[in-house]
Amino acid sequence: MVFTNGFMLGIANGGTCLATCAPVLVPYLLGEGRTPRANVVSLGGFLGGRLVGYMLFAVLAWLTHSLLFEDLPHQRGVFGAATIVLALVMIVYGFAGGDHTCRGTALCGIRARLLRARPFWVPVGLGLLTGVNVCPPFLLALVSSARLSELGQSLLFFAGFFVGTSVCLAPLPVVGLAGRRERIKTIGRLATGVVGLFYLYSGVVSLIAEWH
Amino acid sequence: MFRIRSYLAYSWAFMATLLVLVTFMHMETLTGRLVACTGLHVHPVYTGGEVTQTIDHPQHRTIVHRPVFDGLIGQRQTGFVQIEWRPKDANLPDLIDEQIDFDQDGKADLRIQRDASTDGVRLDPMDSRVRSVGEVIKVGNGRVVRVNLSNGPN
Amino acid sequence: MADHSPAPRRLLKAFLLSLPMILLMAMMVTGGQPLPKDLLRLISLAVTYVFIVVMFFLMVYTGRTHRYRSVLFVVYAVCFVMTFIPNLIETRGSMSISRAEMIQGHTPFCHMVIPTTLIPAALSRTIIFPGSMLEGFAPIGFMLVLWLGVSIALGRAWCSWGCFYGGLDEGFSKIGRRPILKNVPRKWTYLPFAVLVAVALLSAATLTPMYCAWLCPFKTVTEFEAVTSATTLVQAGIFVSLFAALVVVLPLLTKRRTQCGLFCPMGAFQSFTNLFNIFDVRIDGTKCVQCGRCEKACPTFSIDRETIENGRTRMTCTKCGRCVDDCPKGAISYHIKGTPIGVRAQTARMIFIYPAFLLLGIMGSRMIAAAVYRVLLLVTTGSLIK
Repeated sequence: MVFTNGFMLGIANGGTCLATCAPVLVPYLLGEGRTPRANVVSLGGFLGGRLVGYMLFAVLAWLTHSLLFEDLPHQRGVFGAATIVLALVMIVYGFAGGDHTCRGTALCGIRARLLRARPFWVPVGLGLLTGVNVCPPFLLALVSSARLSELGQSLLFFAGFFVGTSVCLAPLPVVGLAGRRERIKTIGRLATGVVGLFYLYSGVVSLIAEWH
Repeated sequence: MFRIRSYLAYSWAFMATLLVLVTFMHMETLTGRLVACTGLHVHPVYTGGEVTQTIDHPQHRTIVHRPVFDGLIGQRQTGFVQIEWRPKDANLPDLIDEQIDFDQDGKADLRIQRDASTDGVRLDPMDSRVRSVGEVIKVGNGRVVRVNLSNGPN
Repeated sequence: MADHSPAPRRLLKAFLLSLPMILLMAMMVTGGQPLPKDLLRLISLAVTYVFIVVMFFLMVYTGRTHRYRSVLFVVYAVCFVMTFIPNLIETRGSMSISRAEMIQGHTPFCHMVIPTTLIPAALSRTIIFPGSMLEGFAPIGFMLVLWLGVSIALGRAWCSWGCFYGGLDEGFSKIGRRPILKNVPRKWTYLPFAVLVAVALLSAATLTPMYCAWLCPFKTVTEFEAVTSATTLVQAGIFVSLFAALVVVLPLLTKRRTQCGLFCPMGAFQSFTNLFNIFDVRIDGTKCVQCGRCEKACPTFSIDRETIENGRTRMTCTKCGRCVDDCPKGAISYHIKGTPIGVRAQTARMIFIYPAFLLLGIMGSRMIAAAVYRVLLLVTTGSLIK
C-alpha cells in the first residue's frame, strides 16, 4: 500500500519530473550521441543516481524529518549547495568536455580521471544531484513520507515515487537517435553548459537566501 | 520532368513576393484566423486565469479569477488565485474586508483585507489550500492581488 | 555579375526592373492612406521613400546586393532604437516595464520570444508571455503571422532582411578595416543551437520565456522589467554585459555578426526554415578557386571548407549576399532550389531580392520615417520627445 501510494504520487507528478529533469538529461544524451540502447544505460545510470538520492532522503526524512521540513533555512542551504555542485558538473562537462588537452593546470590529474571515468559516472552524478534537488513533487513526497514512522515504510514510499516518476522519463533514450552526428553532440554538450549556468544561479540564490 | 520541376520551382519562388505582400496587407485578418484556428491564448500564469465572479460593492468591484495551477502537462502543486479590486470612482475605499469563495462551493476560502493608510494587504486563510499573499500590484487606482495556493484536497 | 551593355540601356533596364518595387513601396510606405498634412511627417515620409527606392535601384543597377542591403539594414536597426526608446518614455515615462503593465498584457511581443514559446504552445496551446494575442502594440498574434509568412517565403533571410536587431551588430562589425580576432573555433558556431535547446527546455519547465527574462542583449536598447529586486538587477546586468560583448565589442574585433552567428537562439531556430525554403545560396564548383574569401567574409560563419566542397552554405545562411558580392570569380549565386546551379543566376537573384527587399523596405520604412520625424522634431523643438 505504501509503495502504491508513492507510485501513484510519482505517476501523477511525472510530467513535472520530466520537465524538471529533461533540461539536465536531454542535453547530456544529445552530447554523448550514442544509440538508444546505449542511452538506456545512461538513463539507467541517471535513474540509479536519482534512486540513490531519493533513498538518502528517505533515510534522512525518517531520521530528522522535523528538522528537514520545519527548519527551512537548512533545507534551502542543502538544496542550494547540491544545485551548485550539479551546475558546476554541467558547466565543466558542457564547455570543457571533449577537450583532452590539459594545459598543465593544477587539477589536471583529477580532471583527466573524471573524464576517463565519465562514460558511466556523469549520468549517475547528474541523477544523484537531481535526486537531492528541490522539485515540487519531491517536496510533496518528502512531506508525505515524513508521516511514516518506520524507515522501511519511508524507503518503500520513495521507491514507489521513484518508479512512478521514472515511467515518464522512459522515452528519453530515443533522444540518442538524434545524437549520432558530431555537430549534435557538440550542441548537446554546449546546451548542458548553458543549463548549468541557470542552475548555478538558482543554487547561489538558494544559498544567499539560506544565509539571510 | 526537369522542365516541370524548374517551372514549379520558379512559380514557388515568385509566390514569395505575393506571400510577403499578403502577410503585411492582411495582417489583422490572418492574425484573427490564426488565433481562432489554433486556439492559442496567453498562459493563465500571465493573465490570471478566467474571471469567475464579479462582486459589486458600493465603492468598488471585486473580480475573482479561477485558481491557476496550470502546468506544462497537467496541474502544478502550487498556484494562485487572482483577486482584483477596481474602484468605481476615483479611489478604492479606505478599508476593504471581504471573504472570498474562489471555488464557489458555498464556503468562504479566505478573508482578505486592505487598509489604504498602509496600502497593506492581510490574508486570513479559511481553507487549507490557501497559503500566503504572493503579489500585490498597483494597477491604476486599483489593486491586483495574487494569493498563493497549494493544490490538494480541501 | 557585370552587365556590359551601354550605360543608358543599363539605366533603363534597371529602372524598369525597379519600377514594380517603386510602386509597391509607394503603396506600402503610405499604407494606402492619403499623404499626411503635417509638414514634418510629410518630409519624413518623403525622405524615407526616396532613400529606400534609391537603395533598391542601386542594388539592381550595380548588381551588388550586400552593400545596399547592409546600409538599409543598419539604418533600420538604428532608427528602430531611436523610435522605440522615445516612444516608451512618452507612453510610460521610462524604458522599464512594470508588473502592472505585464499583468495587463501590455508587453510588446517580439520574434525573439518565439522559440521559447514552442513547447508549451505545442502541448497546451498557450503562449508563455505577458502580452496580448490581438490587442495593443505588437500583439503576439501579429508577430506570429509575420514570422510564419516570412519564414515560408524567405527562410532565414529574415535575419538579414527583417530583424530589427540584426543591423546593430552588423553596424558595429563594419567599423574598422581588419579583424583583430580572426579565428573563431568552429565549436562556438553551434552555441546558438545549444542556447535554443537550453532555453526551450528551461522555458517549458518554468513556464517563463527564459531568453527574454535572462539572456536577450537587446533589452538594453528596448525595454526590460523594472529593477526592483536583486533578481531584476542581475538580469539587467546580464543584458548590458551581453549587449556590450556580443553586439558591440566582438563584432568590432571579428568584423562578424557575433550575436546573430554565435548566440541568438531565434537565428538557430530560423535556420531550420532554410531546409524547406525555396531560395538558397550555391557555389559553382567549376568556377570556385578555393580562395576562401567567402569563408572569411561570411558574417554568420555559414561558410567553411566543408560547405565550399559541397557547393553550398550551411543551414545558418541568412542570404545577406556578402559572399555573392565578394567572390572574385562569380562562383557564388542566389539559387532557386530545383533549378540548375549557376544558370540564370541574375534571374534567381532578382526573384529573391524582390520579396526580401519588400520585407526590409516595409519594416524599415516605418522605423526610418518615425526616426526622421523624431530628428526633425529635435531640430525644430529641441526635444526628441513630443
